[in-house]
Amino acid sequence: MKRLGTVSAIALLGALAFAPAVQAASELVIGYSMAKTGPYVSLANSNEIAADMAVDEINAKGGVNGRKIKLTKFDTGGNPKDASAAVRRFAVDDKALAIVGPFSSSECRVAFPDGERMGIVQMSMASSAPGLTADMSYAFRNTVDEGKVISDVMETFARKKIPSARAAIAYGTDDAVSKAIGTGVLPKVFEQYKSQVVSTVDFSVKAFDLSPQASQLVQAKPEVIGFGAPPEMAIKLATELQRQGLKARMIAGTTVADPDLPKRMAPAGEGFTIGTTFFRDLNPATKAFSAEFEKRAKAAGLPRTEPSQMDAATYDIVLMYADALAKTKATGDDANLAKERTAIRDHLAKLKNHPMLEGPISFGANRDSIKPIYILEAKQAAWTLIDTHEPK
Amino acid sequence: MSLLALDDVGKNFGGLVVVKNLSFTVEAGQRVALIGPNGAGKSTVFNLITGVYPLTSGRVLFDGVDITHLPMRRRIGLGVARSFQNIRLMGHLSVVENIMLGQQPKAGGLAALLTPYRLMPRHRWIEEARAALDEAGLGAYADLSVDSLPYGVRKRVDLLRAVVANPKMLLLDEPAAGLNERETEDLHDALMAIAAKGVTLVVVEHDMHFVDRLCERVVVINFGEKIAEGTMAEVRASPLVREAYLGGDATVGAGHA
Amino acid sequence: MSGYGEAILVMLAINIVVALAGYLPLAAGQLNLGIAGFMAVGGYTSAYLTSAYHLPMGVGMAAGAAAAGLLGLLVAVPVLRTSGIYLALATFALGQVIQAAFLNIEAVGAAAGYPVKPYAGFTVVLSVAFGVLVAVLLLSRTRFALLLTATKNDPLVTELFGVDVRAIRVAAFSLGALIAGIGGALYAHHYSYLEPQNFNIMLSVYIALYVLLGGTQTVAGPIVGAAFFTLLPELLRAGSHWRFVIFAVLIILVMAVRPEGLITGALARRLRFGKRREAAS
Ligand SMILES: Nc1ncnc2c1ncn2[C@@H]1O[C@H](COP(=O)(O)OP(=O)(O)OP(=O)(O)O)[C@@H](O)[C@H]1O
Ligand SMILES: [Mg+2]
Repeated sequence: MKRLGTVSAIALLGALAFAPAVQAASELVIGYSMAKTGPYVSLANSNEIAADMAVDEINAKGGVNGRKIKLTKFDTGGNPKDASAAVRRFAVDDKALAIVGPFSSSECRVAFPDGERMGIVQMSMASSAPGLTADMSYAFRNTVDEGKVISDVMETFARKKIPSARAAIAYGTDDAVSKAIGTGVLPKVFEQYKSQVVSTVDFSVKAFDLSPQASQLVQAKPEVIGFGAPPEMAIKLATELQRQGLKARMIAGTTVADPDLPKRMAPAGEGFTIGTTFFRDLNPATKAFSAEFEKRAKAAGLPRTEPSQMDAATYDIVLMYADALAKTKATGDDANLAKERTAIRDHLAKLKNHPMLEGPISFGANRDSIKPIYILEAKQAAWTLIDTHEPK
Repeated sequence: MSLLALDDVGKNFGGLVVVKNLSFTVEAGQRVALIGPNGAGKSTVFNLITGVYPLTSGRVLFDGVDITHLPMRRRIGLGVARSFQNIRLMGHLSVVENIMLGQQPKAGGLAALLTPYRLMPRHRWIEEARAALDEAGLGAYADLSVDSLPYGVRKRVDLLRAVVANPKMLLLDEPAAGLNERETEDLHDALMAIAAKGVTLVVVEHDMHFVDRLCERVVVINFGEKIAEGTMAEVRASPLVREAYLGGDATVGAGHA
Repeated sequence: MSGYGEAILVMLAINIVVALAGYLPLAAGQLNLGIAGFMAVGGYTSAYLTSAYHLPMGVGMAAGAAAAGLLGLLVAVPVLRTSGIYLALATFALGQVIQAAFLNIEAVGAAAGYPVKPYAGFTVVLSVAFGVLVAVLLLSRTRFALLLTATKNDPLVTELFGVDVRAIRVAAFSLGALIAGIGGALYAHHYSYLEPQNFNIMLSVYIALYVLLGGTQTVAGPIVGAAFFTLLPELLRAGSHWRFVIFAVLIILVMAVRPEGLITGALARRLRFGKRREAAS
């Protein structure tokens, strides 16, 4: 009897947990697939604040088509299987019109085919691995290809006559993105800008000590060092290079675009130059966004209160969705759901220089975004804007 | 031709000589005891006959076949089964399943291995195992976990498992140890019944009264060497045996007192 | 069925398959800490054959299972020379080697991963998993299963009763590898993308935990273990940040209270016995 009781209690709990959610008809639902726990937590957990900010702003102005927007959230833990479960939950149970996220390329690779089969738009705020949206139609990414970002950095050096004839490459081998940058992106970019690669060093992204790599770089005397690895490793290498007395500029793409990086590297890392898609002091809108974000991040007790490019990208995704809902006159009614989801897709795909927080955004043929790249240089423990590449 | 013949068998563990120049034979249908003080090497001799350890020197012949280098799993097929001094049943299995392990040598090949007998009502294997248990008066324990049984019952299951394998020769390592009088008496009857079916018995045992009643012949070893052989009365008369093992009290081996 | 419920059932089905893959060798007393490696072999083989040679998905999965099983057979002979902690280490290393190999095989995308075309939906995954479960359940009703337990309990005595213990161990290990290959193929075709990182050591450890927590004495053990590890974190979603902490504490509690696993042979017998007694009265 007692066993029976336990069993039925578990069954009941299960039924509650896995039952389809009941939806108030008056709201327009957007799913949010977030990597709030797991390996991407340091970059991803602040995205939620930006997403909530966007929703609050829209709803404060009366919502869309006379209805409020509702964000339903699912924590994937950065796990592809959970990202797949999230798509199903949003598409089938929550009757969402579109999905914000998922975060990482690993999750996108699994969730995008699901979204394609179910006919619902997803838009990633962080995935930048090349070729991921090929032969799909509902898969979008509000990110820019690393190759483009890093070649913009080199373009700026050329414009500003910053010496870059002698180049070196330093990258992590045991992380797919780092390795792709080190072995694919950087050699190509340096070749394009006629920089001679005088040294290539690699390391584990979990390495404790980078002094052997640093001394190898010191001997080669490069003027620029192309870097492909997470921000933590950038700090280690910059510190070690300063200790060993090498005055070369490190350059990198969005993978190290941590707003706090100059502060964390200082006094090393002076001159570290990156390309990114968001700069907080760009204009009144970005300043206002950053201030509000900071307030909310502090209240939430987050370790980083400065918005990152991914926070800005998340914010813009929600705003783009709201705009698409308005323009396509979405109702979220069951009967028209498939049609409305597809209309949102078609509307987004046609966006050209749409004014957003990050700058004017368009989508290319592969539904990756085309937007301005801001070239930032680390100066006295802060990022300063030295150049902007507007999309052509 | 003898059923079992040990021919000048020796066994060393590193530098320790445990069995030395040991030769004896057992005729088919005989009931033979192997006795000697603790540490004399009796269990080791069983281990050599069953192939648990390789011999250092000498040969073992069974039923006319030289089995000295035969892998141990092949010996039961020839008809050698044994029990262990410390009961070695499969604790996680039921009594029936333990008995079924005894059926293994005659169970057949791959097809038998993959027959889902537990889904087949009244499958031959289970029926046979149950029948054997019933016959041994152990039917009530058939479905219990071996771990939950009292010692005496476990000893009987251990013996039955070896018997079920239909051996020509049964090596029993201290079958009466730890049993009370009543149980020892039952064991005697059971072993006499097994022998009556033509099974050859070789018994290691410290209870001399038990040995005397059961066995026709006794082989005595000390420090791995044979010191006497013959009927119980004959070996008892040997001064070597009196000194090494039997001493004054001739009902229990000195080593076991 | 809700979309989310379907997704969870798919995870559960795949986890049960791989738990059964870990269960077979464990039933014979061998801890295989390289299951993820065999999953990778099954997944990549099926993915490659269906994508590059356009073979039907069923053929691909069968080939994936066969490849994993064959690799299991090849490595079983040297690996099973070791036992206990050394066996665990050897299989652990094997899993790492397989993962490292796929990180470098360009034909299947190396570190960048490999997209998988034919899609195995809810019904396909559940049917295949159900088939595997039935096969293992059937196997558990045979003499082979009896010999697995006997081998684990006392290999010497088992051998003395005429059993080629080594062959039993090799068979259990290889069959486990084959089933892991099926699990990997299901993963590949359902999630449509393979990355070597998916098949890391943590996955192998989790699979071993499914079995150890569920119990190694009956087939119900790995099933209950897989269900515990799949469903509980979902039920704890409400607890958000704390859910993995609560989950870990629950695992420790279970192992403390039931060190032989949730489901033991004695428990299963008692339940069966109870049923019989009820039927009799
Ligand atoms: N595997 C082994 N390695 C080393 N020494 C061993 C081994 N097995 C047995 N011995 C030694 O061989 C000797 C004989 O042991 P054995 O168990 O055969 O004696 P036994 O006559 O059966 O004694 P008991 O009456 O106490 O059972 C002992 O000194 C024992 O320590
Ligand atoms: Mg002994």
